[in-house]
Parts: sequence; structure tokens; C-alpha cells
Amino acid sequence: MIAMTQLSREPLDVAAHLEAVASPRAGASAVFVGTVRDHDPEAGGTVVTLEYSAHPDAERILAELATRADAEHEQDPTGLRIAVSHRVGALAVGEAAIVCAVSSAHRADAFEVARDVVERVKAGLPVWKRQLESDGTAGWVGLGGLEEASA
Amino acid sequence: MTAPRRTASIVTVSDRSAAGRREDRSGPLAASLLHDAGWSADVVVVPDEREEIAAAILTAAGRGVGIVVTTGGTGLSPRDVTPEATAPLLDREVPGIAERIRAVGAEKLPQAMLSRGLAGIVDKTLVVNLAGSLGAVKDGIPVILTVASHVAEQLEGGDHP
Repeated sequence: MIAMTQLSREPLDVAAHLEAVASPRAGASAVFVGTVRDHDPEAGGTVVTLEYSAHPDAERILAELATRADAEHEQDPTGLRIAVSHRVGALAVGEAAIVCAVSSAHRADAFEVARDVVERVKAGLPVWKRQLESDGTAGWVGLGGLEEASA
Repeated sequence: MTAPRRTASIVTVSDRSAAGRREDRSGPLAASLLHDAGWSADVVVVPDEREEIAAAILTAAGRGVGIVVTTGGTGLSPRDVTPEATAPLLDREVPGIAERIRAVGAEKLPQAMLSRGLAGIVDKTLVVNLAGSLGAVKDGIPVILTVASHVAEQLEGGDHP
């Protein structure tokens, strides 16, 4: 089941995601945190800020991506719990852009589904990144990286 | 992922057309003028909302089209926000294109001076705001076409520093 999905302008709370997926039936919780790094192949110099802008429907699409991942892993009879959030706005190096926590009865499912959810979000969520470098240059990153934006 | 360069995307900005209350004529006219010049073009219609306009421009630029032309939302009414939606997306502005579009339009109709449309580069795509009238599209597209291929060449050249 989906415990939580959100598109947030505020810093993401990793602990809140783990709490959201906590369950007496869970024997494993896997958490993934994607952070802004200070270097990128498309950047000439040092990255200082990433600005994320999102399609107005992005929050709904995030929920749909998580729901689809949940449905496709339904074979686990004890039930999965999924919490996933994406940040928008201006993020400094080190800040979390995406947090995904998944709990399940056994660790294999928690690891696998957490990774699957993150890959789906990376491929399908209509958010766009603009990279600001220490020398003042700015540029869009992976603008064409989405499989198919909903617009 | 990257579309051929002679591709364009038209973003019609209109509350009424987005709600289906008025047929969009400026978008199809822009597409047909581009087709006549050998460009393929698709049309999307969005309401006068900054986020919707920005998302449509970024979606098209992400597909790698050579040109994005927006029509509408460039005037002075409170709902006209196309330039405000476009400005933060531009890596670099190309003011000469917008100036020429206004100058050509104003020769026929002084109101063309009131269009606040911008032109500039988003990643590898030329983005130009036109006013929403059929006349603005009819006069504006030829101005864009006079430099479109040259812009594409220069942007391609940027791939080989």
C-alpha cells in the first residue's frame, strides 16, 4: 500500500518516511535518499544549487507511479508499504531531492521495490532540473530525460 | 529522444481555448505557416497559468524541438503571464527577435507595441512568445523563420567546443 507520497517545497524528512512505512508485519525497511551532488557531466565547474521545477500535475503523477509499482509487486502477501517524496525549488549541495522508504516482511522485497520506485520516479515524474554553478553559469540538466511527460 | 532539428512545438496560451469554450485558431495557423516552410509542428493548448505554460515549454524543449512558439498571454491584462512564465526558463535572451516582431507588427497596428513577448534559448531550443491574435501569428512566424535555421546551427555548434 501507499503510505505517503508528496511533492514538497520544504526539506524532506527521512525519519518521517520510515515512520510512515513502519508496521508490525514488516521485517525490513529500505530507505533511499537521492541528494544534490557538487559535480555533473553537464557542468563545467562546481555545482552549488539545483533548481527543480515541476509540472502542475506532478504530485498526482508521483502517486500514480507509486501505486503502479505497488500493484506490480503485489505478490508479497504480507503487504508492502511505500513512502516516496520529491522536493521542488532550489536545493543546495547535500540536500535530499528524493526520499523513498519501503517496508515489507523480508528484506529482498524492500530493497527491490525501493529501487523500482526510485527508477520509475526518475523516468516518469515531470520535474526539470536547472543547475547553477559556482562561476554563475546556469543550465538545464537532462531536460529530455523524461520518458514521456504527461503534458 | 532528440527530435530532428526542423521540428517545432506551438503552445497556445488561452483560458477559453484550454477550457474548450473557444476554438484555438492561432495555434493551427502557426503550425501551418511552419509546415509551409518545411518544419513539422504540433500544437498544445494551456490555460493562462505560469506553471502550465512553463511545463509545456520545458516538455517541448525536453523533446529536443528546434523552436517553441507560444501564442497569447503577452498583453497587459492581469491574466497575461506568458512572459513571466517564460523569463525564468531562458538560459539566454535573444531580444533582437522580440524587438523585430514588435516592430513588424506595429507598422500595421500600434497595439503590437503592447505585446511583452520574449525570445530566448532554453537548452537547445529557441523559444519565442507571440501575441495571440491571428495577425500577430501571421506576421511573427516569418520573422522567426528568417533566423530559425541560423539559430539551430549556432546551438548545434555549441556541442563542439
